[in-house]
This record gives sequence, C-alpha cells and structure tokens, in this order.
Amino acid sequence: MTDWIRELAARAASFFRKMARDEEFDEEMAAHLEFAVQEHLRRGMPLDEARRHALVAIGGVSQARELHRESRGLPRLETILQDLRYAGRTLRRDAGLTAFAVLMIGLGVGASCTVFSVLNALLLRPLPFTDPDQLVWIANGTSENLSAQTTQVANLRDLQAQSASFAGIGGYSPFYGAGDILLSGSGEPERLTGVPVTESFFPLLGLKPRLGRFFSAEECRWKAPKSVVLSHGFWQRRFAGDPGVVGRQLTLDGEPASVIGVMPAEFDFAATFTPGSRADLFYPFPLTPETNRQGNTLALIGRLRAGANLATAQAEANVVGERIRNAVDLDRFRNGFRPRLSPLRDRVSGRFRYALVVLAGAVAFLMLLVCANLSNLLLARASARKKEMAIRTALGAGRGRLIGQMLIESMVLASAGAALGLGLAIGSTTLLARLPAANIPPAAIGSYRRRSPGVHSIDIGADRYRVWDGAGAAGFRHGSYRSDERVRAGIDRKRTRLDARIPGGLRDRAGRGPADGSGPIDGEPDPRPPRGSWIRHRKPAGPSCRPGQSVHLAGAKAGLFR
Amino acid sequence: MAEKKLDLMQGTLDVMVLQTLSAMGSQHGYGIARRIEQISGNQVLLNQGTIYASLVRLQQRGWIAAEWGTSDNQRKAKYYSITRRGAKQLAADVQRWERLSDVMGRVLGQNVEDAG
Repeated sequence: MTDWIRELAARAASFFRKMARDEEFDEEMAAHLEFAVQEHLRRGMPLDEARRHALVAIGGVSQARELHRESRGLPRLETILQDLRYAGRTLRRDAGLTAFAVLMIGLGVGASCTVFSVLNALLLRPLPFTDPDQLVWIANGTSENLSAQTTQVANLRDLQAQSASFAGIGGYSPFYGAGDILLSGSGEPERLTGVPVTESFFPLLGLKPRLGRFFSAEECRWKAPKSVVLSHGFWQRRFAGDPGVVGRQLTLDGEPASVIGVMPAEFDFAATFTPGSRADLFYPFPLTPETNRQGNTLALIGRLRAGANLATAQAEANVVGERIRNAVDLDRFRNGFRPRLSPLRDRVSGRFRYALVVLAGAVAFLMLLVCANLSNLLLARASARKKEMAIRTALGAGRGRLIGQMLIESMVLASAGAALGLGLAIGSTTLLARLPAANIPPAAIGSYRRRSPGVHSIDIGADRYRVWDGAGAAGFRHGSYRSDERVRAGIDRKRTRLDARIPGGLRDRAGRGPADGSGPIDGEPDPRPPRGSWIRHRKPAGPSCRPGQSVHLAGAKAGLFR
Repeated sequence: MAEKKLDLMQGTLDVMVLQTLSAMGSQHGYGIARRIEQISGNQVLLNQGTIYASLVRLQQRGWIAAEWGTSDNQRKAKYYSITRRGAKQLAADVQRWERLSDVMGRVLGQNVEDAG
C-alpha cells in the first residue's frame, strides 16, 4: 500500500522535473550504448557493426525513451496537457468559428441562467411580513375559482371566536374592480385600484405604516366617512413622496376621503396576493351584518399562535365548519364554510409554478437549439479535419488518443462559452435588479406601468406583455383611460386562457352587488357571476371608446420587455 | 536448436532485476541487462530498453537506489543498488515464485502422468 503512495509521489515529482529526467535518461542511454559497443569491439567486431548490434540489442532508443517516460511521470496528465495545448492552437487557427461557437453557448447559457436566477429569487423571496411562516391562507373549499374560495363575514367571526390556534385573522376582499375608483379634484383625474381590507389585516401581517396609521375601529364601521391608506407606489407617483399627504382629502368617486396613512415600500400587495394587477390604495371593509349579507366576500389570512401548528388549526377550523353547517340549515343567508388551510408562502409561490414550468420549457428549448447549432458547426469542421486525423493515426496515435483530444477541444469550447454565459448572466441579473420597471426583489414583481401613451408594459409574474391600444397610440389622454380598462380586459381575457388566477377582475366594488344589492340567492355560495362575464363596464363609456375596439397584443416575451 | 525466446512479463522482469542487483551488488543498467541474458542462457527475449523502464519503477517504489558514478573505463554511468526494502520485497517475491512453480509443476506433471 505504501509502495503505491511512494510511487505516486515519485511520479508527481518527476512530472515537474521532466527536463532534468530526460537529460539523465539520455546520459544513461549514451552510457549503455558505449558499454555495448565496447563489448562488441573487444570481441573483434568492426566499429560500425558493433554500433549496429548495440542499437538492435537496445531495441530502439526512442521506444526505450517512451517506455521510460511512461514509467516515470504522470502519463495521463501529460497527455491531457498536451491535448489542451493542441486544442488551444487549433481553436486559435479557426478563430471565426471558435468565436461564433463560444458566443452561441454564452448567450444560451447566459439567458438560461438569468431567467432561472430571477425566478429563483422571486420564488424564494421571503414574504415581506413579520414571521411569515406563521401566516396561513384560509380558503373556503378546494375550488380554484376565487369566488368559491372566499368566506362570509359571519363565518370569519365564528372562526375567530371558536378557534384557539389563531392569534388573529384578517383578510381582503378580492372582488374589487381594477381602476374602479376615480380620483378627481385637484390635478389630473386618474383611475385607481382600491383594495378593501379588514381592520386587522395590516396589523396581522406585522406591517407598520410608512406615514400616518392604519384604520381604526371607527373608520371600519358601515358607512363611516371614507378613509384610505395609500400604497407606496401610488404615493410616490402621484404625490411625489410628499410627507404632508397624511390628512389630505382626496375626492374619490365624487366623495371626500381622508388619507390616514401610507404603506411601507417593502409591501406590494399586488405582488404577493394578486400578481398582474396593482393596488393604489386600501380602504376598510367593515365586518357588519350589511357586508355579511353580501355572501362570500373575504379572502382570509390567519396568523397562528406561537406553538400552534397547521394541523391543529385545520382540525379546529373543521370543527367550526361543522358547527356552521348547522347554522346554515337555519339561516337562509348563511353560506357553508369548509376551511382549507395552507401556508401563505405556498399560496404565493404556488401561483408561479405554472409560469415557471412554461419558462423552464422555453429555456430548455433554447438550450436544445444552441446544442443543435453547435453540433452542426463542429460536425462541419470535423469533416474538414479528416486529413489531420489520418496523419496522426499513421504516426501511431491510438483511437483513444484521438477521441481524447477531440473531447478536450469540445471541453475547451464549452468552458469558454460557459464562462461567457456566466459573465452575461451576472451582468444581466444585476441590470434587471436595477431597472426601475423590472421591479425584481426586494420590491414588487408584478406591476403595471404606463410607459408612454399607448404603450403599456405589464409584468405579470414572469410573463411580460407589451400592449398597444388603438386610442392610446394617438396620445389621447382621456381615451387612454378608457382603453386602460379595455387593455386590462384584453389582458385578463388572455390570462383566463392561460388559466391564471387573478382575483382583481372587472367587478364592482364590494358594496354594490347585483341589481337590488341584496344578499345571495337561495343558498348559492356566491352572488357574483362567474368569470365569463368579466367584461362589463358599469360606467358609461366615454366618447373615444367603441365596444369591440381591438387590442393588439405584442406577444409574450419571456425575456426583457423593453 | 534455436527455440523462440521467452517473452517476459512486466512483473517478472522486476524480480529478475532485483535478484541480479542483490547478487551483483551495485551495477549500471547495461550490466544488469547483460547479466540477465547470460544467466538465463540467452533464453530470455530481452529488449534491453525495457530494463530502464523497470529500473524507474523499482526506484519509484523505493526498492532500489540510484547514484551517478564512473565505470572502469572512466565512463559516467548511473549505478543502481538494492535497498533494504527491496531485499524484503525480493524475499517475498522469491517465495511466491517458488510456490507458484511448485504448484504448477505438480499440476502439470500430474497431467503428463495421467496421459502416460
């Protein structure tokens, strides 16, 4: 055993002293030949014959040298090094092809890396709440249809009262309309998206307002004077970060509303809960009999008490659900409650899973194309090198040696391409993180930006759409507001086809149900019409819209959207 | 009658070299090769160049040591000598060979008797 180690060490030592060893061997060879010649001379052979005999007896000096070298150093390593040098020379000779191949690999690898890093960051990004692992998503039933996932106010109260595992439960109402609130008064009129939230929603998540405060119990009463909390993005955009905005009165839908606070920058409601939309402001959703009559309205989030786990919470919730079932039999306006609890993080990241699969497929396909291209390129070059291979074989190179050399060449190309790709990926992820519109973590990943009149750039999770709309392209401001809606309608339609789940569709704000404003119909869990009839404008259309105005989708690009 | 000379396997040449060095003391490569040829009665097909590969191997395993010296006719040459470890290895190898040849002899001899 130790002999083996000793031998390896000796071989390694010889590897680094090749020149010296070669010289020594030559000396030895020379000495050997001399001795042989001397002996033959003593026997009376003439000089040249003596020399010939000596050489024959040795069996070929170069063979001897080869054998010596093989025994001496690290032959495989030496072969590899030699092949590397040779590969370098060959690739340099064919500089054009090398550059092209390296570029191709680099771009492919770079693109894939960037896409996956970004997605990785998005998926693994921690939720911007305190103790996010304690937060659970309380769905009502297992249907993917959001209308069936929401819970009635009374059920929320019951769950809160009867379950001991929750430190608190809050929620928001997903049935808000994007752009349903008209901001008028001073400055440009603008359509805003408002999200109704319960009183405890923000405290539950552990958020602290950037300015001002969150809703008080007074403000969460039915028909209380309007108060709103602004989102950070809206505050920056509309009020340029003015710290005096708290206490101001805004005119929303013709009525005054006071601004009581501003959300912190890390919190992007849309990114977490409703990718593909945006939230400009938040207003209270009262938990009163009036809202109770609206049926299933709330998407619930609960915070587990310290020490409670999901299983016990689910069990307790099931019990509550059972009890509610009895109440349902007695009360016509009461909906059932079949709670399904899941960690909030799963809910949030789970929605990207589809996008991830699509993107992964696209990237895999891209790499496949790169590989196919590359093989073609190298194949073409290989056929041009047949002569070289023939010569080398004639000189005594074994098949293994030639294959090894080709392998090393390919590896050199691949490594160079990979290095380039890595550099590109690092560069582009840094760039993406800095682009204000890209909004890669820690800020939002889903946002809506109007980049210029008529061109809307929308990040929806990892899909990016660029949309032009007819009226907007003419720079017609008023018209473009209307078109916003239609644009979003068009997008929503497309998203429907992609089986995405967007809660913020074109619906009316909570508080305005079907025609008479009364509650659910005959035990049906949801008064709202299902997704098919989303495209419904409650407001009278302006002068520049025409129903049926077409929306052109520029196509979904998985890469940069600029 | 010129029989074909026996081909030598790699391990056997090492043993021969060790034995030669053990018997002769310090010797250079040519001397070792000639000695093996003589002792074996020229029955061994020895490509003299292979001696040097063998010598390198033995040296790397620490069974022989080498140093430069001068021969009788003032020629500089590398002289090899067996080491203590080499002597131990040689003893083990000799034992193994004797056992091997003993067994082979018995087995092969048995066949001859049966046939006869």
